Amino acid sequence: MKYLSIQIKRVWRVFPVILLTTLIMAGALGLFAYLQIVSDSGREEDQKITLALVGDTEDAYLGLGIDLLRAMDSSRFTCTLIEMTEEEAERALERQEINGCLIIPDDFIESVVYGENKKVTFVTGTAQSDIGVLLSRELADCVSILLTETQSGIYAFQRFARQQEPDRNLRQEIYDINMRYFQYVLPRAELYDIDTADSTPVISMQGYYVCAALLLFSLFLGMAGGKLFIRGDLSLNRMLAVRGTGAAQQVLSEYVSCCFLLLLNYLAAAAIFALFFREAGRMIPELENISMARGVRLVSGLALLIPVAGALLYFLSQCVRSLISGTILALLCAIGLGYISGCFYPISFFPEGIQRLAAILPTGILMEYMQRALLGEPGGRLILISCVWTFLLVFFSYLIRRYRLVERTDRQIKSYGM
Amino acid sequence: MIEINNLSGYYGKKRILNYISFQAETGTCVGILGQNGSGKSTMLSVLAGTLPGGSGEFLYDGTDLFKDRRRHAACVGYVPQGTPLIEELSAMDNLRLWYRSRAEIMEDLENGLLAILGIPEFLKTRVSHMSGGMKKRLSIGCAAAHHPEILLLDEPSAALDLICKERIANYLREFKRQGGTILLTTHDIQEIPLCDSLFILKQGCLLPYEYDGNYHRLAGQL
Repeated sequence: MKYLSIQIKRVWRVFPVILLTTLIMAGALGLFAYLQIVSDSGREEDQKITLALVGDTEDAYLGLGIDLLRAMDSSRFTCTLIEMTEEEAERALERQEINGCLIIPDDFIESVVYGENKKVTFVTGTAQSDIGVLLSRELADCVSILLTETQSGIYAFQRFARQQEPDRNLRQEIYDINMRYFQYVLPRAELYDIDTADSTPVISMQGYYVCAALLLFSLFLGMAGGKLFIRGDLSLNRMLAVRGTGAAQQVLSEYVSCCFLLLLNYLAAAAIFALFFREAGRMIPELENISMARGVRLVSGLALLIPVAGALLYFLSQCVRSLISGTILALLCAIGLGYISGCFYPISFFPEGIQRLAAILPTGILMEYMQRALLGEPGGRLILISCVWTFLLVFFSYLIRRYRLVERTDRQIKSYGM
Repeated sequence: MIEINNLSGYYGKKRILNYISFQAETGTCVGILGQNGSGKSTMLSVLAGTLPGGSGEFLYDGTDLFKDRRRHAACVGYVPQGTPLIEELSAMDNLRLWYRSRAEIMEDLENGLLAILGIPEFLKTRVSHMSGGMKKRLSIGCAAAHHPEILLLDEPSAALDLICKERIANYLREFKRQGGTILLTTHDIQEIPLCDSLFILKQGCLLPYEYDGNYHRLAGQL
């Protein structure tokens, strides 16, 4: 108990410095993110997908279709179409100035007129299936259908009408059918709506990132707070062991003090979030009009973060012997585990394999649990898995400590020429 | 009286301590000399109980302290070469970890071992702000908090200034005077006068040595 109380006191003494360091690191990260957002790379024009149009576009109806795509279609917000020659498009693809090019075959209009419907070819500059290429393909498909289907419909009507009444002026009718097509094609985005089943509530983006920030804030604490638990010289621990405070008691006392550090950090983070939302005049949707009882339940529910993250940080600190390696390990784990667990990008963006991995990692489980807690759902099996992880991490820390208490020091080993 | 019989220690298959035996009378100081890497620290670690795998007997008044861990914890104080202190806390906080009560600390600070070591001078100083000498004195204060009868010191005055060495020597003299027994390892010629008997640890064996004031001869023996 005496060792525990001393460890708690130690944490209490250094907490302001640790908090300040963590805030500086979090602030630096926030500033970096802000600069990324306001930088030139974030401009709307640069975020659009640029596609080159290669081929003969002089046909009146094809030209009209392309003009419509540029000026009226909803794709104009995400896509820029530029007319180029094939050589220009190749060079632009090589320089990555465009995301892809649509090659309209030479006899495209004739093929459409006679119902053959030659396909528009889409060429990308990369074989990788990243999200940009996937979006470009989707868009190319859309353009191809829009041009082919509508044009062939118009030409078929024109041919049919001329066969029936060769001398009739069809200007008005063709105009009408064009308008009719546009009315059908252009508002295609309104043909469907995205919704989820009522039984599975989905967390808001703000709520998701509050959970992610809370988890990251705890993981980054390992960089500033890890020094409290990293031991290069185990003289103190050996003396304690001789005097009756064995490896198990030492590890438990240190783990509890690590949890105490995380508790202080958690309270500080909660205060910072509350202050931020109050100053910003906004609230995450899950917390709007929240009752006091539900608020207390939420804060205590989210506190599961403390023992699990505490066990993880404590275990990491036991794996190293120097402050530098401890800081590097804590940083790598915070970024690596945070990334895989969806702290930077929502986990649903990742491949299924990564999602499965995240579902068994302690940080991934914490992310899922915190989201459920924010939505007011029960933790269920996640609490059980978190407890298992906590136990395992503390147990492995105990094994490391037990091993290190009885090993000879590096200096002794070197002296014996081993 | 302390009696060490057939003390051996291994690292893997290599024997580091080769059936060492010696005796020390109550109220005396035994000095262990030897080259770096000769096994001095290992010997003290085995005696202190921080390094397992040793064998032999560590008899104190007829009781084998290796077998009676409770008695061992009560009788033996060990000051390792490292710093067994908590850097973020003050000297007082560190002492609290080892003393049973605050009253005992205050008593020792007034006229006990802590006063002899000069700890009241830096009682509220954080360990991270202390000099090497302060840390060593505090380490001894912590190790002797339970008033042991046997004190094991691993190079207690290494890299300390003269004043600090003098403080520690004064304390060790007082400890002997009160009936305590000291086993210390040293490279420091100034600590030799403190010792009532000397041994050289060489190739795992302990050889008795009588220092005649000739430093060069001693160096040759090591």
